[in-house]
Amino acid sequence: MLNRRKFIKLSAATAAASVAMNGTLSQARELPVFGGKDFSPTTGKERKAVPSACLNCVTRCPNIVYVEDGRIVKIEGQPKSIRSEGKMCAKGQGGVNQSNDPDRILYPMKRVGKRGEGKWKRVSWDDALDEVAGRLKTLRDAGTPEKFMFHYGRMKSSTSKLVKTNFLGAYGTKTIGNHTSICEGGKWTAQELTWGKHYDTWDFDNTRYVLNFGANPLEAGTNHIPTSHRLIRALTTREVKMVTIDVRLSNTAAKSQEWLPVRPGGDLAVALAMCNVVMSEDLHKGRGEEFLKFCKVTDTAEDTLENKVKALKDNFAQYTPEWATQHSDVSASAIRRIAREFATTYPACLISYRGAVAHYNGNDTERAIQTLAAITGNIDNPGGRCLAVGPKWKYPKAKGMPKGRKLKIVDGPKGAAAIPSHHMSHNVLKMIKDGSAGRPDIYMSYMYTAVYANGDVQENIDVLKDESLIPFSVNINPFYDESAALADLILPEPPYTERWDWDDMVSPVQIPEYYIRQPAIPPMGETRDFGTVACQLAERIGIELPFKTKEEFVRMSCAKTPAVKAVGGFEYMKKHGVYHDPKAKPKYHSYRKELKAKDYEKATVILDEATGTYWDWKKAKHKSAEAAQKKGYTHSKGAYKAYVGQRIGDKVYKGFKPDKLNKSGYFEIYSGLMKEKGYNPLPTWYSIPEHEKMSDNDMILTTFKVATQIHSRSQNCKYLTELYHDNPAWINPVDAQRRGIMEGDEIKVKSEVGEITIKARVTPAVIPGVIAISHHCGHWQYGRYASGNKAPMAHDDDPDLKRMWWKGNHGAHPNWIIPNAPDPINGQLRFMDTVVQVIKI
Amino acid sequence: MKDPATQVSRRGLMKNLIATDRPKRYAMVIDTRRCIGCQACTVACKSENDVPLGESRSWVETIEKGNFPDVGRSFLPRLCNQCEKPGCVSVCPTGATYTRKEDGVVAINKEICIGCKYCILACPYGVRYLDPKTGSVDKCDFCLHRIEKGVVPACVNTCQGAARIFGDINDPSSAAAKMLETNSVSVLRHEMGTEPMVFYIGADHSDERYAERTGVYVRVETHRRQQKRV
Amino acid sequence: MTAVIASDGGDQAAGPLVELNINAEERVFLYRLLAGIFRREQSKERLEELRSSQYREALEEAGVDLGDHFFLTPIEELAEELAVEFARLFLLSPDGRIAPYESVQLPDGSGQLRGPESQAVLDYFKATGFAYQDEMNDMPDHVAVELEYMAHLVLLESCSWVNGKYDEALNAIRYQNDFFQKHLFNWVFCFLNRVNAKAECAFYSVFAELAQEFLEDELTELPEKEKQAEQLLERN
Repeated sequence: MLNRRKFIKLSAATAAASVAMNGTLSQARELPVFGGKDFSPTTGKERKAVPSACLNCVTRCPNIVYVEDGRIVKIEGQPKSIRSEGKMCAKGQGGVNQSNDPDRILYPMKRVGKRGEGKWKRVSWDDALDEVAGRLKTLRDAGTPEKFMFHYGRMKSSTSKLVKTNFLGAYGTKTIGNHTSICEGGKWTAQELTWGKHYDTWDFDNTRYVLNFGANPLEAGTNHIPTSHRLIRALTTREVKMVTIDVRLSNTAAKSQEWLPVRPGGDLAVALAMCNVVMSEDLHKGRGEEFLKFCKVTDTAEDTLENKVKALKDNFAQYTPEWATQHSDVSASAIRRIAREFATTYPACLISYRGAVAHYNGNDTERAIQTLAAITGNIDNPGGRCLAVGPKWKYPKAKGMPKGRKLKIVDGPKGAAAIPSHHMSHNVLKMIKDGSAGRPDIYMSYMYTAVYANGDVQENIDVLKDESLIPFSVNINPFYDESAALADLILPEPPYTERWDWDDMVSPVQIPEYYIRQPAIPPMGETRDFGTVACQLAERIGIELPFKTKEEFVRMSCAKTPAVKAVGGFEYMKKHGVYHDPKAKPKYHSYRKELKAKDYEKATVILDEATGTYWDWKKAKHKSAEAAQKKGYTHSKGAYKAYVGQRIGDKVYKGFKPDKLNKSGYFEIYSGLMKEKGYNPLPTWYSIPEHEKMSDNDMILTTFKVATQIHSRSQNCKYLTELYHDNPAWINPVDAQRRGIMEGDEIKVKSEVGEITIKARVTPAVIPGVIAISHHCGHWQYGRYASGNKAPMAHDDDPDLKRMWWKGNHGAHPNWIIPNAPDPINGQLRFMDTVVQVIKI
Repeated sequence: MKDPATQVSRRGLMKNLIATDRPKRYAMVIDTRRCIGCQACTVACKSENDVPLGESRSWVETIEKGNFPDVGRSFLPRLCNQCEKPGCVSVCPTGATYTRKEDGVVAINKEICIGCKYCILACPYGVRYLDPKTGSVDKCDFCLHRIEKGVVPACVNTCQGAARIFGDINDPSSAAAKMLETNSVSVLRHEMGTEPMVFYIGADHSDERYAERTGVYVRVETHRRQQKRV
Repeated sequence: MTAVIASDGGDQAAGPLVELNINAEERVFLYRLLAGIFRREQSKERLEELRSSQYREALEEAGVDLGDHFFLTPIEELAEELAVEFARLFLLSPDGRIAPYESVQLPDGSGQLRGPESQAVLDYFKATGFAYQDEMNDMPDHVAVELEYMAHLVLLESCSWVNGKYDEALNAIRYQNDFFQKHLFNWVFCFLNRVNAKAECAFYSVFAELAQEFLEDELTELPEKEKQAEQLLERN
């Protein structure tokens, strides 16, 4: 029994002030009379529907978030969206777990003790912002803004325009890293070399055949729900045939009529051989030929059809199906048959993703695939592989931005990749370690986990931990992940369910859809949208931005964007969530649009004879037309931004607008840019060096994704992690037997850079020679559901853990043993090439 | 390969239904050809009905089958079969579990349920569970709180492939009734005599016994805490 | 607040009234003290206060020993150390924080941050005429807020005793009992056990123990008190 009597002296002295801080409760009215048993008043529990947008993956489907009693209780698809048509995948549904994650960070936290020790203390936003702004200002005032490195993972649309375009632009740093090279960077570069800007959208609603190289749209993908629900609809209601070429039986392969198991890197051989079949059997005649008019196939800007056809036949002649079998393990007869089917069923949709592209030879794999679609006339056509169409938002932009400076550390070591147009972000930490290109003083990461998402995890940890390499690091995160654990300061952001954005993901019906994200509930604790934080930093540094918060930015953008303003701007978008022009027509064959004379007969527009491209020399920052002509379009830095049109014959077409690289307006099957870098200009076979040197007992590690998780940041969602928390390695019975491995055995998988222990899943659903491990598991942070972390001496009746029936079973992370090795042409991380030894423990 | 024992005589079924006095008979037809195993329905149900971790009202099983390279994978969405002759109702000592007269949905009155768990044993499909929060047994009820307001169940709402077709099969014009009319369907554990009202089109009812018989690889996964398929 | 005895109750009531008031005042103090411990990091000023001879004496006599380290460490160092420990226990820890909310800690509860339990607590506050406004925007079912709420109710009780309003006092006690039974009691002991197990600094394990002892007393005394107040009201 506590002897409370002793406290009376204190209570007398200290009275009401003894709490020594502001209380939270104030009595607003009289205590009502205590009556009856049902004392809690019944509030009318109507579920409030908030139209918003998902961000549990990059597809960013419009959604409806249901709120009850100030809590998010359900998320459903938005039926008014032409992209998702009211569908929502498991990941999007799992978003209900984000706001209520008990391991969320609600306040700014500052490191105490050694970096990575795991000791923190809370600081106020004022203190946090003062410190960060102070350091940023110091660098800027010293004329070295480039020493502020900003590294983002998932940052799109309005957040990107506010943070990157405005804040970082006005600050003056161009030392900006992204994550694209571990994602689809290689695919995009290959597309920039052929037709210009990514994405390739897949028109499943109108297709009659789908040929799939290494993509898994039914489980994952950049435009997941908009394409996956259309794909299954096509397969089941219109009996569209689908063939999937993949090292393992993904769910997409399972729903396809045919699964062609392929050796890693063999996709290129198959694609080249299919081009061979098309050309040697003259299947390009008709639509393929028609399209060749818009293609560059030789070094001559405007060549004859005969020459183009001959060049193609000559190039692909050596890549016979028989030749391809040796490099792919796909039978020659299957290659021939499928190539014929694809080429003679019109329209046909050719799809590809990381399975095919994240290889040493990935660049030409995507180029060969583009070519195969081109020579069968399946580019930008209804039912084919189309140029992406998305909404064009207008947004406020700060004036008078300085010329940005950058440390050359985002493209990897010099010469490691010939054309890294999407950077080599997985090598940033290596570059910092090396130091020859300089090191940032401040490393700020946003929605990016350098540690977990890249390869060579141990090296990532070592570099981030080292204060001599990275003096000050800030991590912006709603949750405590492996990278936040190594920061000096954590700035808490709310999860997407509590944020504002306008968004712009592309639409596979070729009609743009405008949509927004809005908070379903106000941000909890002291979390702040980083867009707003950037404004607050700007103010402290003395940078003027024309907006103060992310919400304001979104509101102003709604007012500036004509299509949105016309229907009611911000208010309309808040109420409806989505908007598309009901009278809009789908955009196909946009390259065929003929320009009017007034479009290219301007004072500052000239014709580049070498490429047949019309371009604006003033926009390309040349001093005169003569200077521009002298340098030429191809070699003028950033000339692609000044592209106007493509001359073909006596007409000028919109053509295939270039992006990031100075490609002409042609669909470039023949790439002069590749030639200049010393590579074959037409799609060519490259073998994978490590695979040539493999010993008989080695295997190749491949990675993959599942339908219920995204790469690294969905595992805190308990509903998703309940479904998928363990990732045993897929191994074919033949390989397992050879090594004495049975189902469920612990095995060691070892590569050049490390080794992991993992359980075996013995299954014929993977080609012999390959061991397949998904990315999603093996977290050692990121909350209790993902990692099983719990306080020491927590009891088993601990409510947090009692119902987590999978605790202790959190899988293994393959990235520990995958090196950060790049594709030599585009810098893509070669996730699918790692040579490993597999041993039973 | 379909096990003929699971096939349902369509004529017999329709006869049964027309004979009942019920104004409606809610049922679900699941076209597994359209299911892509995305688990959106599993999560939708979980969040809609606040189902505790470790329990499930609706889930999707995968059946992986075949020797390399002729491997296939199919999906089997599972939920309460809302049986016409429910074993759970017949064993309930308090009458907490009952069949609704108006539409045949098997419902649970949580106030009356004493949590004896007899019904969990009696159900041949493993769809019932004890809710630790309420102390009462619970299960899928076709989202009664939604269907009473004219909104489809959560799982049906989210399905990408439109694989779940829900409706009143006493109404011949309903989509569900039409699907039954024009397709060959199967039910689960037909031999138990429960007369399930969840019908499958194109389902693969293989299990490990098939593997033993034929030497072909079969793996059935439930993707939930209860790893053994019921 | 010194006791002011209203004379209208008659001498018979004066004795017990004083007792009741003092008892209430002690409880107000303890609820507030504990709320302050769990609410946020201890400021230097607050630590100075806790180290003052008044407090030290009172704590010692009550059997609460904060240890030499607490009294002898330079104040700056101590404040930092305790702030780190506070963060480690309640805000952010590599091996999992003890989120100090009913919705997370309640056995068989939702386990969610700002779950339905949080709303139920907020509804309770509103229904009893209390407005919730937190400058740090934290959840209404934070242990410190629930303790603060109890302090408010006990203060109301205390005022009622002072003014001889038996019916109001009984009302306040009824609410204390009800809130305790419906909310605080169901999870706070679990929570305090965990704090005790995880705490590395004596400061937090000592106050967790103090809280445990105090609230265990409340558990037995509140129903008694309700009965006692009922009787007093009847007699008067």
